[in-house]
Amino acid sequence: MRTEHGTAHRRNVLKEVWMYRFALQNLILKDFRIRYRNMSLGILWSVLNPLVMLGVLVVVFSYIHPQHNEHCFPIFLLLGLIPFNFFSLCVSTSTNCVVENAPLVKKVIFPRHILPIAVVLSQTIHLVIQLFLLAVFILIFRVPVHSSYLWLVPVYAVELIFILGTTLTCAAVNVYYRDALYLIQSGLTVMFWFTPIFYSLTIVKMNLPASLYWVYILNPLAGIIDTSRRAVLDHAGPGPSFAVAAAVAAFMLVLGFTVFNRKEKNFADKV
Amino acid sequence: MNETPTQRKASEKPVVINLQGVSKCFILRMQKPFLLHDALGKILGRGRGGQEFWALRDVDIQIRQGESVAVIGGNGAGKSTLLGLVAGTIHPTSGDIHVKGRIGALLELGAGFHADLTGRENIYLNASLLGLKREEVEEQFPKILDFSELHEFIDVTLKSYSSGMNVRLGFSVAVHVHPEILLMDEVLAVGDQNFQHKCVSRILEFKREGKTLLFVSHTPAAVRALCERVIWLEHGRVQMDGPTNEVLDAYIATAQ
Repeated sequence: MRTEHGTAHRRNVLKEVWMYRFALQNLILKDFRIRYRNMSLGILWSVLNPLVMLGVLVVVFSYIHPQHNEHCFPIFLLLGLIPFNFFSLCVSTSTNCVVENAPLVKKVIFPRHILPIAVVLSQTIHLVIQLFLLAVFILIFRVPVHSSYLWLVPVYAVELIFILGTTLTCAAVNVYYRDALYLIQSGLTVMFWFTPIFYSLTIVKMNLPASLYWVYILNPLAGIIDTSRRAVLDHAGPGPSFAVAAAVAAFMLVLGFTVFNRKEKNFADKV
Repeated sequence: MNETPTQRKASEKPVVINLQGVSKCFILRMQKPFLLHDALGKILGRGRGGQEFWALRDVDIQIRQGESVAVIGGNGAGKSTLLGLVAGTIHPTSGDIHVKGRIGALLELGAGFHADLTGRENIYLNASLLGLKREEVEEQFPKILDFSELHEFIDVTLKSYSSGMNVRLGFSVAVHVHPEILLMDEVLAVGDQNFQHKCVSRILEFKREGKTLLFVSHTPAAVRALCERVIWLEHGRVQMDGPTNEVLDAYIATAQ
């Protein structure tokens, strides 16, 4: 509940979001409850779905179409797919979140930022489940565990920052231009192939001229995926692509909050 | 003009809702919300499509702490827009607004209720979105439940609720948020006789606690029972602003 507001009042958005953390928690719970109510297996689907996806990839690329140019290709692939799917799901589900919650946006006062943030956090729970399953596969494949794995923490922190910025931007823009939803869905398909998922960043560096390579790694997912592969498979620290990813992610976060703050006050008129 | 002691006392209280020269314009769109060629037109400096509709024009209103004010007027007079502006869900096109105090806005009962959640889950979600913290929701929960009298149905999803039950749940949450300024939009005409009576006595309790009340109503009886001041809006302008009986009589006279 706002204690004071008005045309001349300056807001501290981060403080407001923090004050609404219980609402945020209830929105995340709502997401899970609605998704799994009336299902006999319920929350187990959150584990089963990624298990099926991870499992089938491992089977196909270990036995049916084994790849030998990358060692431990199934893990290599999962280290690319998991962060990409996390990004893609967050962006595609949160773009419409302000519009979907039109009754709330029109009639209840609360910082609208918590709508996309709730979507991202609820997807983060799914990410954690997938990472847990990945850990199981890493043990099964006997990839040696190394202290370089700790790099995964900053890697996913950067991805979360990038995603928060992107989702805030997309959710705000979609209120004004509903085409954004379709544009973003096409964009995600394009991005899938311009992200090193089925191939490594080393290949990109070999085949692209230096200037285009720098454009390529402006996609933070390139640096994020490359760094996690180095950490898990090569036991190495991050390369320059990670610095670029972190910089772009920080830029997106600032952009996201700026766009959202500026557009937020007219949401009720437009949804 | 002779002021009675109570009136003088009220006029010394601080202004908690202050609107100065407030106007609100909506762009009415015929079919499509907001398209690319609008944006191009804007960049090129050409006028955009869509018709302007001034819901409020140059409105000045000051409401002091502890006042109970009703807003009346025909459909489309700007009543809900006024409440939305005070609540902060919409922003003025021009003019200044300043509101001081915790606002409880009952602009729509059970806004954001979800049919797939149980009564209990909806209470938690709704109350937290209205700004309550975890401890506050947990503390208020038994009171909300008692007020709604929905004990048997609290763990049933809202799909199986009647519309009356929905509204009871919404009102029960809203009046337990403990606002300093209570804004209500036509929410009194809900529920059965019994429940309506309960709502009115709850609002009278708010008044006794010295809280500020601003509400939109179409029922003169409710206005007379709850408010000492009435603002009459017509076509987005303040037609009349004064003591309840005076304004209501004038309003009813024009309506006939």
